[in-house]
Amino acid sequence: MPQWPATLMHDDQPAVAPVFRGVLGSFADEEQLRAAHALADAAHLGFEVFMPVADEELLRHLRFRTEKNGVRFWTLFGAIGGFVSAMALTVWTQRNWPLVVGGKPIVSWPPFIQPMFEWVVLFASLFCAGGFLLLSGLPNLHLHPAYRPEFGVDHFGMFIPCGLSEAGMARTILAQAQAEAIFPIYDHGLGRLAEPTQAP
Amino acid sequence: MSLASELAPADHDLRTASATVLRPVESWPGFRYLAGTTAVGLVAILGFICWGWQMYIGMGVSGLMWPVMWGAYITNYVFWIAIAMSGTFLSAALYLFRARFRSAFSRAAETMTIWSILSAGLFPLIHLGRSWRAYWILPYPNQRRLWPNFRSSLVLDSYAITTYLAVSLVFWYIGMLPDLAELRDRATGWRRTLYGIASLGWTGSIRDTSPFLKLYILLAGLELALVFSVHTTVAWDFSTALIPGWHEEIFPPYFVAGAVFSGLAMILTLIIPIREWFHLHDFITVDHLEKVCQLIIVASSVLTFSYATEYFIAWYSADTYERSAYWMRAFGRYSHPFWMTVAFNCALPLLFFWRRFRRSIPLMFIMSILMNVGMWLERFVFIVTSLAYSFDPAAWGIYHVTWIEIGITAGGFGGFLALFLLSLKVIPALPTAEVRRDILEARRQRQALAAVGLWPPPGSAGGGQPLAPPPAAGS
Repeated sequence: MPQWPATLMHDDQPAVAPVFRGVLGSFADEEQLRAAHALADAAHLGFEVFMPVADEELLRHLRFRTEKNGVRFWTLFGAIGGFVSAMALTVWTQRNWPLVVGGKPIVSWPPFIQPMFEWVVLFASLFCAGGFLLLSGLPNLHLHPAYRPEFGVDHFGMFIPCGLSEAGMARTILAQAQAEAIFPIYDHGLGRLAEPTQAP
Repeated sequence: MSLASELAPADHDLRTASATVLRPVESWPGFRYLAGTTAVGLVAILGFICWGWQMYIGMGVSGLMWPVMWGAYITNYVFWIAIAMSGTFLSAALYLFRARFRSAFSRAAETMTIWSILSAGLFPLIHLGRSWRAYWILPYPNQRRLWPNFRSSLVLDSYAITTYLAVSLVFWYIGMLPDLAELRDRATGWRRTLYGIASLGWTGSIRDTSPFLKLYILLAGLELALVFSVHTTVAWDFSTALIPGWHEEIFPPYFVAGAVFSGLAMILTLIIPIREWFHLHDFITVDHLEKVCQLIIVASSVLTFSYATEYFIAWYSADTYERSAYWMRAFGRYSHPFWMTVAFNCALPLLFFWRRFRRSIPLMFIMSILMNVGMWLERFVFIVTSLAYSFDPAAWGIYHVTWIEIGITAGGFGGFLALFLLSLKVIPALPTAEVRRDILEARRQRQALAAVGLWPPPGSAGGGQPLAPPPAAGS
């Protein structure tokens, strides 16, 4: 059981009892992160990783296969929706105002293919972006309580969510992987970061 | 040595790389940046004054007169839409092909796309005369049940451009999220709040990153398909007409090749001053710029082949009007811009076969400007000469560009450059997250090479002796 202070809140934060969320390790090197991942995996502990780069190789190592997430299905639904919408728009508007131009049929498929293609791409892209936002939980007004600014620059973070009973094991795993610093993570249920102090 | 180890900035770690790339956003602008932005901003204001004058007096202030009813404004439109096309093309294609030198150009290319689409979109409105009626092209419900004619390539073009703007904005903005998050973490006060909202709460967690990578590769693929369709649609504006010199099947791929060429030249024109003013020499190296020059050689070769094909088909078709149009293009009233086009777009890029030209930044910069001039003139020549010398010699006529049109054209360039420069004071000129990934990748490769005794390279400072060649077979 770690002997860390029970509350680490700033004075200006509301007096709500902080909740222990887990243990965070900060790593200067990705090899250390890989070692921590192996240990956490062996101990059947869940984890969240923060990375300064969006790197596919590292994600694959952490067994998060990007090709398996649902963004592609959102994109497909968008593409189908775009195709149907553009077909409906072109056919309906031309039949609604049937002006013959250059002797061409009112419903001329060859030129209509172009807006259909454009809307396939447009809707697919917008749905793709929407699917990404939904799956990633963005926009998120409150940053993850374990997030630290150095994870956006040159450090890797591994947060092991756990109760106080598992905190010791989580801390040992992070220490064995040579974490540069280990922090207990609390929040107030408001998602606001209680500034952690470095572990002794 | 691998490409990643060659191109990643060797003297930087992740932290110093971020600090260097973000410094221009976080510090006061230098004198050269301020002077440059002010100058192009004033030119943009001049352009708007000219446009206002044209709206007040009428289209008579332009040189547009029968039979040449498409002139400088449509030339500008095609020029800017080509620049827009190639910006995203460059960024998306290099991403899909995993080109490691992408990070030096992708942000500038995408930003260039956004502002050039807006510049391009302005010129049909200017050409319209009564610009306030531009909304007629939108399919909005109205009492008279009038709808856009979806069989017209001009209507299709407006859909292509608006789609392209929307998708490019998504591609540009989502790709910027990690950089905006980093700016949020470094900023204080109101800037922190603004970047906090703009970054949407990005933390670089697996939950953010995993769908992000999937999204980005899908968007890059969609964008790549879109860029071809957009410029193909612009080409249809001309090729679906029966005018000699316009009515050609080669136009769509020829337009795409021209757009890639002009975009690469514009990238050099933009990135070279940015590199100097923002002190990004470590991240945009001569090696990076040399790769753009090599791409320019390829694009120029395709373009030259297209020009030659046009002339060959005009001759081979044995069509009097087609042959006449091309003859007048080369030897008629507009022969000077035609030969300048050939000189700047076909002959000048050949100098890049010499290493000295590919590695001299001043020469590269001057050549890129001349290539942009060449590409503008190319559009001017094929638009105007085809209309000026169409079927019946009795109906031929000459078009003179007026000062108002020159002012509006200059204003288009000024506005584009001003917006481009201003935006790079708010967002980083390079994608910092990708720069860091390149450094990380290079670090991995060096570690892998060091593990087998090949790093530092044999013969270099700190390296071992060059390896002996393998023994010959049979020895």
